[in-house]
Amino acid sequence: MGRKHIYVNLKTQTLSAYYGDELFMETPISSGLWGKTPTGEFTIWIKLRSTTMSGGSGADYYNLPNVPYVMFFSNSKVPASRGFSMHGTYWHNNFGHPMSHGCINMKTTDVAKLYEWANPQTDGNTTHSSKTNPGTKITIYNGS
Amino acid sequence: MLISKLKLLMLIILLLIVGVSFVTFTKQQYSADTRVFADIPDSLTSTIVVPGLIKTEFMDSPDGTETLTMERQEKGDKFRYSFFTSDTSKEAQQFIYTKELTLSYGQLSIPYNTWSPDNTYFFIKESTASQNNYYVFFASGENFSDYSQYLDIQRLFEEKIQGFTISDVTGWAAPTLLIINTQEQEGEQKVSFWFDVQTQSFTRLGTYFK
Repeated sequence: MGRKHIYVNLKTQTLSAYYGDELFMETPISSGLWGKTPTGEFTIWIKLRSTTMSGGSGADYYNLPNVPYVMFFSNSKVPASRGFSMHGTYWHNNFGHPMSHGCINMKTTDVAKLYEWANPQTDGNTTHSSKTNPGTKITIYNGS
Repeated sequence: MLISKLKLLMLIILLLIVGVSFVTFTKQQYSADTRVFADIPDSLTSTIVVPGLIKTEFMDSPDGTETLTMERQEKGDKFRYSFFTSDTSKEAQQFIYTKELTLSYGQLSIPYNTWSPDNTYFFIKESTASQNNYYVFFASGENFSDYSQYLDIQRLFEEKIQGFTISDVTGWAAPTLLIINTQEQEGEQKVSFWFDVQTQSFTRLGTYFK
């Protein structure tokens, strides 16, 4: 049986989600400006139906309540505390171009579908991955 | 004698039947040239417009608790648009706004980023041949402090900002701030503004929000 896997091509600003060899979704995204989105193999460690995101400083400060369909990911080099995620976006619609501070911005209607599809299987507003409910793998790369 | 009277009675009845039948039959014979005209000139006859099916679109709020629904119904050469808010079960809908547009004038739509992040407001887009208009509403249906049902961002922008034209309203920077992208009217500079729904004011940003 095939596994679920998400691919993010930073060059084309495209996200593709597969179940084995079967394409589930392909859609434009907005990754981080100035190369801020890390590359590599990651795993979703928590899903949040919505959450507040804040960060930056000075003119770059942001405080965004109710950011929808958030899927945080990490690996051994990019720990969970770094706060990288895929999530819905209510402040811009310029998908296909880098826009963010590092996260993968997605159209809210697209990420809603991805959120329900990706593991860990959703359980309430907050779903942690576990050995019995592991997170889906994400490959982020600079494609051609 | 009795038999004679009965015969006479039967003859009379028969004659009556024949007579009535004759009269009835002749009354039903119309001349081919006889017509009955309605007393209404053709120019005043009304055209019955059969409304089309209602098509529905909706957009959930970021936290998934509220829904904005747009119903579009074709009526002849017009579309009637109606907007409602509700919780996501859509059982108890709050009517917000309705408008009819001719097909040639334009259409209304729900932008992807319609909901403010705290579900207090939403905005809709009116696309016309000459420009796009953006209207902000309270999700509760209440009026703004100046008693207006909605804020017309295009009109307010033209009143307060000179030299720029709105190219897009991309979404919400904060619960009360809409991001307005503009283009210099005489030049190629692109500038972003925040529109504050509470104060109905525009703040020019230092960078263009692509």
